[in-house]
Amino acid sequence: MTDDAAIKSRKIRNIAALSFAGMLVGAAAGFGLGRFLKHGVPAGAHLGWSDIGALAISLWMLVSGIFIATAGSHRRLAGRMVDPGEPRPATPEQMRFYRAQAFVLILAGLLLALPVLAGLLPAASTDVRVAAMGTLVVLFALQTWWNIGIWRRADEFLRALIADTAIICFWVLQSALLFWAAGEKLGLLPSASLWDALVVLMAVYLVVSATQSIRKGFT
Amino acid sequence: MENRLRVLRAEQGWSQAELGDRIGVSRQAVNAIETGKHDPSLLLAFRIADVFGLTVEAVFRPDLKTTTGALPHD
Repeated sequence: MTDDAAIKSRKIRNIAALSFAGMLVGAAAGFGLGRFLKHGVPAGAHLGWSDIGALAISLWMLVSGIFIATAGSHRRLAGRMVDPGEPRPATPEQMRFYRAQAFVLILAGLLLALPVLAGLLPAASTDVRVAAMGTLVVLFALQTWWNIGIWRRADEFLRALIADTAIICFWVLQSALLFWAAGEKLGLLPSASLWDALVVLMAVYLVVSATQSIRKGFT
Repeated sequence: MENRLRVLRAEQGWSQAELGDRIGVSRQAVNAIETGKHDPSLLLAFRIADVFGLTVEAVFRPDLKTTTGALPHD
């Protein structure tokens, strides 16, 4: 077998193993979310489509964050993420980078779940809502700080990827906002809440980000 | 932009990750440049040329079929 063929075969094995692990974790997480929606929601509380969407996205972010954090704490596992074709132990800087990405993902998951879960608390008082909002502000400040750190440590390719994703998201989402707002103004479309819009924004961002990563070879 | 990066790297016997270490970018960045999915900045192009002991023109060539997006001028 040639070197190229051996590297390709190793890559395929690694991707298959990661996909299998992802399917197992995804199935367990999906089952957990389903059980929560069926049995965990207090009587009388209502979850709209955007709340369920927010919880699903949040769960995906938390699971991905924990997965990357676990891999980022083992030099060999992190090395496989850096280069699946030719694994070698990751450098301390690469491990720090993965841990930062994991932390940002986990914080993003918490940010998205917190308003939904706090709203589900039985007879959530104003104090509880203010405390949830305060926590949200602190988590967001932390996440912004770590995001800036990721940007500063990223090379020009990753920065270009982030910038391209932001540009595509801007055009897609501002177009969607224009048409929805116009349709609503004309009485042709139902009104949407800001929370609905935020969840759509996050979903579009994740799809665009994943698509761009695959297209540009950031895998 | 067209480039000879893959050939030059193979001549040196370096993996993408090894070249990435030498020029201060990730393996994915090297892969994206080799496959034409990312045009490197001028600074990185000079760094790449330096690591092979060549000039930038000996590594990169503009793809004249693509436009730069500049406004038409006289």
